[in-house]
Amino acid sequence: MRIGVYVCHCGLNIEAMVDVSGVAKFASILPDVVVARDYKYMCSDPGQEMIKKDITEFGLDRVVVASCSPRMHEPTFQVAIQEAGLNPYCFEMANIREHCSWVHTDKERATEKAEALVAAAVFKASQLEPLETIEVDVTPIALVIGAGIAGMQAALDIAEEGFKVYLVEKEPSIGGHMAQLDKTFPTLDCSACILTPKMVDVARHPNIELITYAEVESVEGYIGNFKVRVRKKPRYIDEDKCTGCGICAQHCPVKVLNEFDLGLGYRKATYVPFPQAIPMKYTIDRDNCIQCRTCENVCGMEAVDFEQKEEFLEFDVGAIVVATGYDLLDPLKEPEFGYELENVISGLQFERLSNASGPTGGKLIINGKVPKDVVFISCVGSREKGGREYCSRFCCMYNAKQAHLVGEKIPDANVTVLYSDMRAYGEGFEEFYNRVREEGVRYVRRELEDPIEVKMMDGEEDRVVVVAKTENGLEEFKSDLVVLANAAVAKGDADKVRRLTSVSRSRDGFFLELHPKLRPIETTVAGIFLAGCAQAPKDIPDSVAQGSAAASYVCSLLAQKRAKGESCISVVDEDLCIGCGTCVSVCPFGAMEFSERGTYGSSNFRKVAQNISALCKGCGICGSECPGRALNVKHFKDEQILAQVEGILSV
Amino acid sequence: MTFPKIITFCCNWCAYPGADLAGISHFKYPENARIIRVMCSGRVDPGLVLEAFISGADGVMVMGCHIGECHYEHGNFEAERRIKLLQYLFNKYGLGAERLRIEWIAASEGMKFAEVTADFVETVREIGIMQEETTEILEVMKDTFYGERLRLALGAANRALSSGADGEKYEEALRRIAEEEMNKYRVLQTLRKEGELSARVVAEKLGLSLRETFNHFLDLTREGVIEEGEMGEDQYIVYRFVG
Repeated sequence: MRIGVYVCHCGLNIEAMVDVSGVAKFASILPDVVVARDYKYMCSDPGQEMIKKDITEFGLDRVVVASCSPRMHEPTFQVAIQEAGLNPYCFEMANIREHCSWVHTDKERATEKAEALVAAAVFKASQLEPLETIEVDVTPIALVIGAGIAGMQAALDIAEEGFKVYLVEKEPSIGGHMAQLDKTFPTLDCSACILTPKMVDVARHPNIELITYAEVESVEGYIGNFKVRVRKKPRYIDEDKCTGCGICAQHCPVKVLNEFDLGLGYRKATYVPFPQAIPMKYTIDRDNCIQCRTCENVCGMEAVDFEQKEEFLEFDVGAIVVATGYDLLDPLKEPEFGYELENVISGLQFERLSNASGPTGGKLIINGKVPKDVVFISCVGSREKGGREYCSRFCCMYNAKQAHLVGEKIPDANVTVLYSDMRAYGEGFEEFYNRVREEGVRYVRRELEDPIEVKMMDGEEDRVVVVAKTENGLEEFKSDLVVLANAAVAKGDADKVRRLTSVSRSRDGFFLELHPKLRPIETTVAGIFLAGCAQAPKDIPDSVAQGSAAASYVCSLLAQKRAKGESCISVVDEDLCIGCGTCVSVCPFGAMEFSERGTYGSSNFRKVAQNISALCKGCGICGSECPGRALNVKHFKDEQILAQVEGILSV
Repeated sequence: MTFPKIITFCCNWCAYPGADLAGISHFKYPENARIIRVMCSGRVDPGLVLEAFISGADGVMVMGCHIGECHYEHGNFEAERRIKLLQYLFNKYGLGAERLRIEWIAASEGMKFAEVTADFVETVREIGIMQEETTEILEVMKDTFYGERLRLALGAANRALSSGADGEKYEEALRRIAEEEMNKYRVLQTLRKEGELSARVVAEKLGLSLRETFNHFLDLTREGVIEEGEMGEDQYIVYRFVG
């Protein structure tokens, strides 16, 4: 082994607290080290050139750089040594900046620690093995799960690049939550007016295969090579024959509370969720259908088919976008806000009331009465210490918008917003908020922790009173209508999607991006990307932006035709494997499988574990569990980690 | 290294960047804490932890992502189960369970990283140096955690729990198996060190029952690491280590 060690000053960042040249001198006498140097900036061009020159001159086969975090510059140096002909995995880094010079105050002791970290890296380097870079073919087709605004944007962008996209939507129509909204903040443009043209584009695009009223049942495989199985639920109406004329619904005798209007209006048992639905195909809700078969008789196209069965579709894709959206917290879970009362509604219910295609045709009428005193309450279930601690991000602004809409529709209304902190951070938000206040909306601040109660008013059955501790002391707000800004929460079936895709979830239940700042689109699973509120609550422009971003990741993967697999993967020593299957059951990614050796039925027959390299993420859990100690993850093998332990304890 | 010698295993996704953030924010903590990066806290085999102690560490900390945030789904659960079992044995054999700690550090928790590290260094400083005499029991513990039986039980935990096994009962079973295996490897260690011995002598030396000791003799013979020798004057058969 011929190791070169390079200790970086990082200007004064390291040099000020660590005797850098002393560390280099220390490294020079470690076993296998043939050259050790220190330099002002190792990551600079001259620094990298120095390493490359030494590799040639001294015939180095392993390189150690002691500088900053490997999360910062490991790839930089790996490329450099690769250019000089070394395998990129013959490289190890000692983090003597973030983990040493920046956190310590005693130069002598910090230098001693830096020496220990360098020794650990050198000892590990002498155990490192060159690894091969694995490449796999990529199927040039994408799957987008969820056809809300983020999923639609992603599908459209991918399709525009010329790739085929399967767009799977659980509901009978695409559009997502945005289809339910009335006006959008802060511009007050009508949600449907900007959304429906996009929905039509999605339906018409030759590269998009829209699969609605369907759910993904299984995802198998790995980056570039996913096998997807989708269950298409029966509509009991033949999509090819249905013209969307609506005569079936017109005559259907069954009325059901419309979930699209959040129970504020009715639909029939045969229905489309909203007038601009896409596809404009009716669906029979068999849970409520009484099987009178009137629809079958009145349909001129003979589209009704009570015998329709669910269908399963299977296809291959190279990349997946998870855009499954969010749910809203059931306000009954926060009982102090009085959601069980008839004059208390959620923010989304307000949208349906205010929407021209909603149950009241856009008139603000609550239980037949035009409200005069309206109170909005923000942070219902959001920003709870020890609970849902996050901010739902869009409520402050839709509160402001809804307060404005009340004033527009009922000019003499008294509108109060009970808020805790105003978050008007986006483009045009603060201006809109100021405008709403100038219009006469009263903003009253309350502390989030202070008690609040919403209850029926004595003697006035159609009014409620909000009792809250505010900046003015204990205050009562008599109102005809209370609107709750209930928290955005992870989709109810997020856990199912997690199991299907292996994409991790955050503490709040939303899907976790690969890095909170620098890799907000990728997930822990290569080839699977995130868009929209599935990742965290966000408003429409942010959802659209993330949809486009996910699409660009997908397109660059599909365009490359080949994808890089993980090099640091588990390897099985078949002589030690006892065939117990522990690895098969502990692997989070299904990367371990049984393989047969010998002839079945004969004495030489046995089962051994086998690693599916394209699925392996290199976490190493299998190796730590393996009863026969037959598994080890490359680059983090037992002997490599133990070498680091020895190095650290040697100083 | 100056006492106490601390090794911290940090996962690549949460704890390591958490430590980086402590650096970027210049939060101070003692020089004793030295970090080894692994991809997942679930990668930390208890055997590695024990080897670190045998090599002279006074304290070992494992840091991973918060529960539910593991980049490999359940790696931190696995780590927690193993470290808890190790802590139980450390306590039982008087090594000080406080020398071992498992912590969840998010990438955004630089301050927590520094505070927890400083606190751990102080805790270990108070317990004192890991005495050389402990090596023997640590070796036995290492054999136990590298042994097939305990690893099978540990490795099957996730499978058992997800198919409805009682969590507390399972942990109890893990502790029992670990203790039995500890005794088995103590028997083996005694035979390896002291040559030919009978079950009676070994039982007396280790304070075990004769029945249990002899059962370990039989197990170890089956595994081929010891073999039966001659009958002694006391009519007890001696066994010897064969490796």
